[in-house]
Amino acid sequence: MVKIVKDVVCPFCGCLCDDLEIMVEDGHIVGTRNACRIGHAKFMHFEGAVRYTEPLIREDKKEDFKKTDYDTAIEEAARLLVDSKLPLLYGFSSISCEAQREGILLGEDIGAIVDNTATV
Amino acid sequence: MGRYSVFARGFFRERGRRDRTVVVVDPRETTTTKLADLHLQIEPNKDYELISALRAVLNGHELNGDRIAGIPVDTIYEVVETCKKAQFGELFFGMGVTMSRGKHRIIDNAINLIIDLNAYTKFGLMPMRGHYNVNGFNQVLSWLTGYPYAVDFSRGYPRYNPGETSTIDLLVRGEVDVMMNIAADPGAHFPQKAIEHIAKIPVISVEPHQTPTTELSNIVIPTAFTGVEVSGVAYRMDGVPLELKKVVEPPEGVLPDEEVFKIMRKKIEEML
Ligand code: SF4
Repeated sequence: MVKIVKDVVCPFCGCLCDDLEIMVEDGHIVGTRNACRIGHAKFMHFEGAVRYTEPLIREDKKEDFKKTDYDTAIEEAARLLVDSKLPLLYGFSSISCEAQREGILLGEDIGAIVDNTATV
Repeated sequence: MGRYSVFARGFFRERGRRDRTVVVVDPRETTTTKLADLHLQIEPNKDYELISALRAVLNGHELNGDRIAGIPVDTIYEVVETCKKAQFGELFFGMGVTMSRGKHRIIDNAINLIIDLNAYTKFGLMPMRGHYNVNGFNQVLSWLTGYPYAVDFSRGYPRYNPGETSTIDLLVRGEVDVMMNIAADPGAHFPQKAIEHIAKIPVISVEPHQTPTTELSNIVIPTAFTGVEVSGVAYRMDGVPLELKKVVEPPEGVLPDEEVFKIMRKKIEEML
């Protein structure tokens, strides 16, 4: 059965259109209403693009990735950041404010540079 | 355009599109220029000239020559009159302006244009945001540190000096030695010199998808999609915060960004 979720805010561009209707069937998005072409395409295909569902790791960038678990991946990331002289945290523009806050405080903990896409 | 700008019917604009005037400045023809009342087909890299011409007319000067920045002077006079007569105008600008010759000086000039226009009517300007929560980050960082972006915590307190503490400059000068990239794709958008440095240093990507940047990474930490698979707050580009919804479940076991940072902070605390 298709369920319609109303008044969805579109999380793809800064307009944040808040009148979208998303059709969901069996936990999958099958259609949208009121979205522009970009918004529609993103909602429909966000599952289609190559999506990572498990953390990946490699020592040397020339090697292939190996699958790992969250604990190991986050632990190794933390170690790289702690050992770094001047780490850079960049991006932040496609995550929620709650997550941005945690990320910025993390940057403060390790004395990093914290910057987002507005810098470009 | 449907929800907010051109077609929306509002309290003051009952007839929607017919109650609004749209002027588009673009060197190319696009779907947007086709629905505009006036399309200023500007020559590339002439934004600064056009803004200066508009300001000159607005301040009562006459323009010399038939065309400025590729646009007939009569059209320029017309645009100025249209803007002056508006009840409430807004100038929207995007990367086309910030990336063409003159960069932030163009914005500087545009701000002055808006100041000049406010002698006649209410007029504002607003950057168009690519990613949905660019503004949110600038808001959150501002209330945490006092600065909107490019903050350097390396001395234990926040410093802000774009050009020195901004990402591209730091990468081009090769000063940073680890990069954590969060749901952005510098590998696809940054200048070549910056990417060369990214290729040299350890890179961590917190990112749901495969991108050119994840290809340059040592660690990829996938996360759930905010606004689709997790809820959260985002700031609209005009500064209004909205609650994003969760529509479907994330793939099994995939964590939200917030959770990843929380765990990472805990681990960092133990190591420090
Ligand atoms: S529907 Fe289109 S214009 Fe609206 S927020 Fe989504 S991507 Fe942006």
